[in-house]
Amino acid sequence: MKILAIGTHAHTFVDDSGADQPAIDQDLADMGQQRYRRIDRFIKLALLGSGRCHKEKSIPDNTTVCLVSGMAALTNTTAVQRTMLAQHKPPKPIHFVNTLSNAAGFYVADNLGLHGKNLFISRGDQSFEAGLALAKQELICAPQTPVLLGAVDECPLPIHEHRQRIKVSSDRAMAEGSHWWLLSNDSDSDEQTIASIDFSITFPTWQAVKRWLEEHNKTYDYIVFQHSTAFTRAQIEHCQKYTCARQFSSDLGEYGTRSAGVMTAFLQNQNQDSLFSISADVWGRFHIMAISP
Amino acid sequence: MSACDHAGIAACGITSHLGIGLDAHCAALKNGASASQCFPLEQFANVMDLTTNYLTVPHSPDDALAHLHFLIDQAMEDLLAKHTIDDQARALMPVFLGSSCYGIGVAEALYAEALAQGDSAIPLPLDGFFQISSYLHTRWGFTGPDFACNTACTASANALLSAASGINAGLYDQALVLGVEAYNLTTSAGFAVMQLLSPDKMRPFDKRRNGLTLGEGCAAILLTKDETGDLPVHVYGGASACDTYSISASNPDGSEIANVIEQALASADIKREQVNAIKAHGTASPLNDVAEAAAMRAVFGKNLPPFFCLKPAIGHTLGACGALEVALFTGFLERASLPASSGFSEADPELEGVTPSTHALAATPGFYMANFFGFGGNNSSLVLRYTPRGEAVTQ
Repeated sequence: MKILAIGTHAHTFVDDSGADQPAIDQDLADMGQQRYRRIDRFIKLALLGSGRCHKEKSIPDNTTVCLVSGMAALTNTTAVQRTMLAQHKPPKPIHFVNTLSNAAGFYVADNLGLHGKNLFISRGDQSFEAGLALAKQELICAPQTPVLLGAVDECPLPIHEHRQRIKVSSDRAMAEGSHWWLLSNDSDSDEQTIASIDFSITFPTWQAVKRWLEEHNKTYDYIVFQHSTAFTRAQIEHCQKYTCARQFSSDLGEYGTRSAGVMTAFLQNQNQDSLFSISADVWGRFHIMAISP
Repeated sequence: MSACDHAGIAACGITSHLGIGLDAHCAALKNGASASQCFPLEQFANVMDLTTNYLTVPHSPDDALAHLHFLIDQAMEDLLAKHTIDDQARALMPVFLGSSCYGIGVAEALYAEALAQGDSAIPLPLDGFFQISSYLHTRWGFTGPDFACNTACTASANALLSAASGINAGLYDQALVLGVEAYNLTTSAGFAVMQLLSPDKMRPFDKRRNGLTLGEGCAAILLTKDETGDLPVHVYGGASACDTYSISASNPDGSEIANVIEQALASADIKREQVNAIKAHGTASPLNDVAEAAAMRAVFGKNLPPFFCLKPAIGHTLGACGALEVALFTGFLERASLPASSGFSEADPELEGVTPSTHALAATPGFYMANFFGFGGNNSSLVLRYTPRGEAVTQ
């Protein structure tokens, strides 16, 4: 699986009031995108990242859109919940429609003129890993159809409330991100390749990861422990021993698809190096992936 | 017998307004069951009169989380009563979920409770997508890679398509597909304010159609590589595509739906003449039935095979309808029959002769189609193949 183009937006909030939330309307207008009325921030973030990807490389109209997110359109959906349950008023039709997780995918397809498959997938903090696995499957089943994989999560205001929602400590910086990768099959002859994705695998236990690492026997330049607090010291040392990799870290704030942001940042800055990524989820499963130049 | 290269439906578990299991459903649907259940949304009584039309699952608990788990448990118990899945298989097989509600009802309940207690209430105080996969993991031991798909009313149809594609490509031997829809206020209120609900009952493709009835339910489908070739129903092909005509309605000329049906036929490498019958999406909304009828006319012309609708009996189960209606379709094919389409009595001239079958029919071996369309321009079409038990599958 090859990465042909990347479009990205990430912002880590420094002000808990949210006053530094980027105003992205002008960015969208500058890109010459279609103007949509009554769209929420999640849709705007999706349009921004996908639009930037399209600017890097024209996206074929049969491309499969695979949008992934940890919690999807939170600003709009929380507003709908407040309207209904705190104010006892029914939602406006457009606000209801925009609670649908695939609404953003619709606008991305419309904006870029795409009419292929349009999917939305979530898997908590491992949503990006799930999207990569599904993208790989799509490219095996339809090798001639590229996949536009987008990882989008917003940080609804107020930020302190969102911290409580996703259960992170008050000292943890929060962020929003929209990261889009245009992917093609390895057999694609396109020469504009940023990197290759070697694999994206889920293991049910640490023991299974250990066995795989010992058998895989391949070294990498860097390793990143996504959500690093979920790992024991022994697990970190074992991974480093078998991958012989230096640790890569990012100061990106917290959001559901942060791993996409970390890997995108790596690709933008160190695309001559290989990266092994490992993520641990709350059930003790491990999700690994690797990219190489 | 010989192996079949296409994913076979090894077993289905189902629960809906009609009860539990395919036997109960097929018996009720054989002659065209139809139901409606209208009740006011009292939460908004001080602002406006808003009524929903919703078919709930009988005997389900009131507590939102227990309710969601109850639906999943009923479908899983029904599935596992027909087909055992050992611990190792449960630990490894991928799980493809399709739902348009996930944990929204649970989040609503927690938020309402916090508001009532005067706490600093937070709307959406949990990861809704997590609720179903988490329960399958902890209660049922399915710990493999999970994919929570949400493409509105095509969610579990797309989940089925992804699972079948993975098996057909040899990526896995088995996959669990689960479609779930549980009652929640957001959906009921949303459909009510969009004026999509019928004030009485669903009449797909009928001249007097006036909207849909919502429904809840759950279907669990075990897809498997058919090594012996003795499974009667296979997911033989399918397609999914995005229609950007409107976020909340299909292009009324039917062109985009026709396009996805053509793609599904091509994926199964069959001709339109080979389709024996169609399970229509049939939401009974004035415009969507126009679009679906136009698409069927465009693809099949004067040789439109018999088609039927299942939603009048179980309601529109939204993100779950792909799994629920494919499970029901499978149940009928296994019984070598097709259900009557209920709610229809008067042809609509605007649909130009497209009328559903009002009588139960015999199902003959061959190909069948199931269509699903949703908000967000999401259109999906699946091709099933039915081979009676004891007859060899030929590729």
